Amino acid sequence: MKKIITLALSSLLFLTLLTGCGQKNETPEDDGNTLHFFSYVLTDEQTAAYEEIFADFEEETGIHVEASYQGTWSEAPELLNSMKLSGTPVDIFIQGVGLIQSPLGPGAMIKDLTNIVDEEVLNRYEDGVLDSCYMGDHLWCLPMADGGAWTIMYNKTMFEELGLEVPTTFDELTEAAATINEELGITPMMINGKDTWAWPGLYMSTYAEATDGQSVENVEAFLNGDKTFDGEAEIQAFEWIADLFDAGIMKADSLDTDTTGLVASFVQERVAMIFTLDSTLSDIRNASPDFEYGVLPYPIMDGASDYYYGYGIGDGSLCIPAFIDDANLEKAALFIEFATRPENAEKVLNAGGATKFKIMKEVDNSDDAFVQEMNEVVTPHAVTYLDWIWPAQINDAFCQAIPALASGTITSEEAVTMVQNAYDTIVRENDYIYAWWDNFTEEEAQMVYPAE
Amino acid sequence: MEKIIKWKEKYFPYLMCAPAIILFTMFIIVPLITGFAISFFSWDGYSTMTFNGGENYLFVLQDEVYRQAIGNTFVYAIAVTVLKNIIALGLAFILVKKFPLRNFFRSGIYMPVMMSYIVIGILWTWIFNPTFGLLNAFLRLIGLESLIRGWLSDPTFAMASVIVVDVWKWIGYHMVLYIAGLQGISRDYYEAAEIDGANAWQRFKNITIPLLNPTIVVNVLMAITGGLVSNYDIVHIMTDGGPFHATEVSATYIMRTAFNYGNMGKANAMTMITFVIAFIFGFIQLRVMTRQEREEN
Amino acid sequence: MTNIKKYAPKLLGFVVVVIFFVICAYPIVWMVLCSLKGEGEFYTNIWGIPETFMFENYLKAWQQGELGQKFLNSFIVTVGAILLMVPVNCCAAYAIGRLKFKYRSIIYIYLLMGIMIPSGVLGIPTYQVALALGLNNSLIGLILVYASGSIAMGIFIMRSFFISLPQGLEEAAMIDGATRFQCFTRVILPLAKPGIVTQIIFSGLGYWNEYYYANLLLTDESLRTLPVAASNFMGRHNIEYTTLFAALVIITIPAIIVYFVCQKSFVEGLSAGAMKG
Repeated sequence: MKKIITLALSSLLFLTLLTGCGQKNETPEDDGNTLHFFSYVLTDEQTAAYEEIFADFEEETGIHVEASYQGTWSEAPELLNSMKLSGTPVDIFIQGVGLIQSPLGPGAMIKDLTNIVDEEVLNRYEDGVLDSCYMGDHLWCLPMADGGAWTIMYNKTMFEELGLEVPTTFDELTEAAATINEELGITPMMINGKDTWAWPGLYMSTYAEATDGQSVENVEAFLNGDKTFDGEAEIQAFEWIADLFDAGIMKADSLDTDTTGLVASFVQERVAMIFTLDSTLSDIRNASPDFEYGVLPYPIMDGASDYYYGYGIGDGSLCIPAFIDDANLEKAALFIEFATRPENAEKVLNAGGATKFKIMKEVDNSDDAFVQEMNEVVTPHAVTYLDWIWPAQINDAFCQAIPALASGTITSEEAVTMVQNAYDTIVRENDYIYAWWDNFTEEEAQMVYPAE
Repeated sequence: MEKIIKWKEKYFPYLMCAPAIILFTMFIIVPLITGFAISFFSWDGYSTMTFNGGENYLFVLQDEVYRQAIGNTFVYAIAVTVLKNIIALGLAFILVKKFPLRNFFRSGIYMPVMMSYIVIGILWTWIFNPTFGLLNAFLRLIGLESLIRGWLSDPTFAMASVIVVDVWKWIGYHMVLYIAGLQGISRDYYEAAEIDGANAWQRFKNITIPLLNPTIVVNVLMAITGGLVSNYDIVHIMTDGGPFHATEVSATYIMRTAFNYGNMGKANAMTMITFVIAFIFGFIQLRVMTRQEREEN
Repeated sequence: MTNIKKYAPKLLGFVVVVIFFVICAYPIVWMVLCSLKGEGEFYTNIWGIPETFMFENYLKAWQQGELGQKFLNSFIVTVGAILLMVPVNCCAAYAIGRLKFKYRSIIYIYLLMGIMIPSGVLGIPTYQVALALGLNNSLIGLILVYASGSIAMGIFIMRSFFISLPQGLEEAAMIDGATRFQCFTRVILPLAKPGIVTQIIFSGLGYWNEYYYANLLLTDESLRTLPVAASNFMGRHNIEYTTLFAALVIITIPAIIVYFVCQKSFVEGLSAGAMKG
């Protein structure tokens, strides 16, 4: 009998111990003058830049910023949600525009900043930079990091040695590719197709060409249910991707190449051109290849009048969580104003090297020759990343359809059907509505839209 | 006092089971039931949940990709189970006997068990890489260039390639268990059989297999559960279900539906269905494999 | 002639083993070599030996990832979960395997269900349970989650060991005046060592490398474990592969050491015991 009692008592003790230990960390000291900043893990330079801003901010306003960094970029929504569930305070957090359409926006996780941020702050940004931060005429975030774009990088030295001109049309590119293949026996162009997310990058270019630069508007109409995804332009855009493979410009080896493999193939001169996100630039630089490289315009296809590249600014943006303690809202707004001052924003934007794109009026971007070339070739022809607009399921349909098309498994007509089917599925199964900002429940709307 | 002893006798087994049951219920069953409840709602994981009856289950049953994923899951589970066990048993037979540098070789084959999935993903993607990969270079070297292909992008071979990686990772572990099992079989049995004139195959069939049965059951069950429900990491890093769902297993599809597509309701419905199918399959497998044991008792 | 007949199978066996050995052991060597390359060389010299050995990658990984504290956390969690799981599993498996009582098979099937639960999306409900118990952001919460994940398989393994022990072991001890529990701890448990070793090796490695729950449950920087720290080297766009590999080598080394230290008792222990059936 004694033993049973001892056992019962000790297990009770054990349990209280457990709960006790758990709760120990749960009551954060809050003197009412602290802002809680949360971000996915940034680079060391970015973290240092933010720490500097926090210190200056405390000096000016007396508000202390408590920062924590956790997880990767794509895990951030889930981690933010777990903080919401556990009541961990978050007042400012860093997120990319790419995650606002899904899941953060429709999930009622972020606050509408339209009435929180002053005109003066908006004017600090370069014209057009904030376009992708607006959805349904509401402002959701403010960019604090470099932009990105899809590009075709090419081996300049190799082109010069083969006596090749810079190709601008599809026919010229086909000829150049044929020469490269004959002379060197290597694949002319490659994409990191094993990472399925890369494929829609091609469609952003061809679809913009097929719609004369109106790709975003067309996709929005499609997502709104105003049009179906089976018109001539949609099919043509797929057809033009298939053409790259039919003409021998790209080959099946793209399907098995991941980002690191793409960079490795390029710096080892086993491929002449790569279709890639410009973020691979730093890896290529680090590998210090013994050849010159540059940026090619996307080939203008027969029947198109101009070329385009998918592009976006809005990674690493400042957001305010919808579940912020209302008492802290004003302080969060103060911080946003402070952090986006050119002299402060510059620290973050230029951490680890100047930005490739011009984000703020008074913050210079890099004067590196390659970057200048990119800004000449890419920036005037930039259209917003379509995967920042369409939801993950639609994106996935493209990720499946394009490689299938490239390997000749399906036709362009079947490809558009796959996309349309994906849309029909999410409307049926997820109750998908494009204009999520108009469809909150009353309770959610109260959290998302601050009282004026 | 007599009474208390009786009481203790009666409740002793339950007291012994209690900690396991409590822990298991709290952290496995309660989440499972929560998941079951969620499967009746339309929910993106963030915003307000809305009840939608059994609609999610209807969506799952109509979903061709899910059906394909379940089929693939079984192909995958059976293939890895058979291959892991046969190869591991074969290696165990060789390495259980006197063998030069025996421990050195055993340790080497055990290495992949300890490697993290991040490294495995990069390593094998690069081995299969069409431009500078080791596999194609090797095929070229031995003059089998006709066999060169996109190992992870060709729907016919992608599944086989992923299976190879999974088998490669775990044979060392199974081999060690088999070596232990084989060492436990007394030599006397074999000597007696040899005197009776039994040949190698008969000795294997009539002595090794029956006496090794408990080891085989554990190994097979571990491989099967690995193949059926714990295959997310390896498939995710190798192909994430591609190309065109050729390597889609239910775990990858569930995770994508939940966290990329933001459809928690449907993902949980799929989890429940996968769980029921896997449980029935696992249960039958156990019943069949332990039939002998139960008959003896 | 007889010589060929005698040595041919041996030679074949040797060749097979060497092939498997190379396929399995080379990657570890590759991983270490990669961790010693320069950042650019990682891309240009993929399969070869580094031109200069960059040992500073390790220093960088250790300092940048603050791996010292994380090492301790991983160690606490792994050892804690093992210390919790082993007795819990052994007790239950013993009762299920060797005692007769009314709801025995129901309890067994109930616990065995755990083997076949696909846990992926149940991460969030699990988090909510931890939250409700006030165990989020604590190593103890993580230990409980890990240990409960090993219950099903652990009980299955232990039960098969207990069953295979000869009947009547307890009766002899009880005649000598031991209680039921003493029979278990003093007579049965020592014989079940191999089963315990199997469990520890299988689950311990899983705990050591676990990422998902560790990342979800622990928000305090000072509580994080090694795999979470390693993932920090994988940035938004750029992965510092050489530093990442150095960190991963650091994570793998303890597992390798444990294996080599335990190797003998692992294999010998396993076979000395009850697995012979």
